Amino acid sequence: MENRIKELRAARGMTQAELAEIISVSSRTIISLEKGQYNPSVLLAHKLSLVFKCPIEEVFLFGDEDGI
Amino acid sequence: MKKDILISVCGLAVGIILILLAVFVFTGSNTLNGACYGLGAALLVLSAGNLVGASVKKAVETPEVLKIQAVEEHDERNIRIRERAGWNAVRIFTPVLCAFTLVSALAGAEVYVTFAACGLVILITALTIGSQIYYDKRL
Repeated sequence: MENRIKELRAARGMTQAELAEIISVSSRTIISLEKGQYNPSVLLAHKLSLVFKCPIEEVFLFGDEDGI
Repeated sequence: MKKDILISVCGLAVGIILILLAVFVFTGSNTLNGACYGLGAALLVLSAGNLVGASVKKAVETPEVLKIQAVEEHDERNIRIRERAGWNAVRIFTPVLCAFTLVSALAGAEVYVTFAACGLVILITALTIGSQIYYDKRL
């Protein structure tokens, strides 16, 4: 599953450490998320969508293989 | 914190007592002597390590450090890493222990060594099955 976290974060002028602090995770988690190495829980995805003020499906790009 | 220090101090005292017992009292029996030395040394080293760790931790604990520690502890990626690491350790350790049990039985090692290894294999298997049933009902 791909995501736009890096792009959305950069658009808001946030550093990885700042984003990590806002959603109470480690910076390493943000790095892994941005690299697409780690798929977050629904709760963390929800927190990210709240921070970026856009729906989850705009933050995380679900491909055909992720669908039903 | 005080409870941890108290436990470490008790462990240290018990460790020293066990080593002293091994040196001065259980000199006739090899098994008791070895057990006292082993347990005593393990308790002594673990307790001393905990005490040193607690004193270092106390020296560097600031509100900022505590906040970082809390984040690291509750970070969902770290939790997942811990779970996977634990599962992998058991997955690798179980066949190694089974092989050790088999080799010890075939090589004619002392019966209590083979029984202890068998007991550990049964314990790990029971814990794994028990945990799976527990989490199957809870999750």
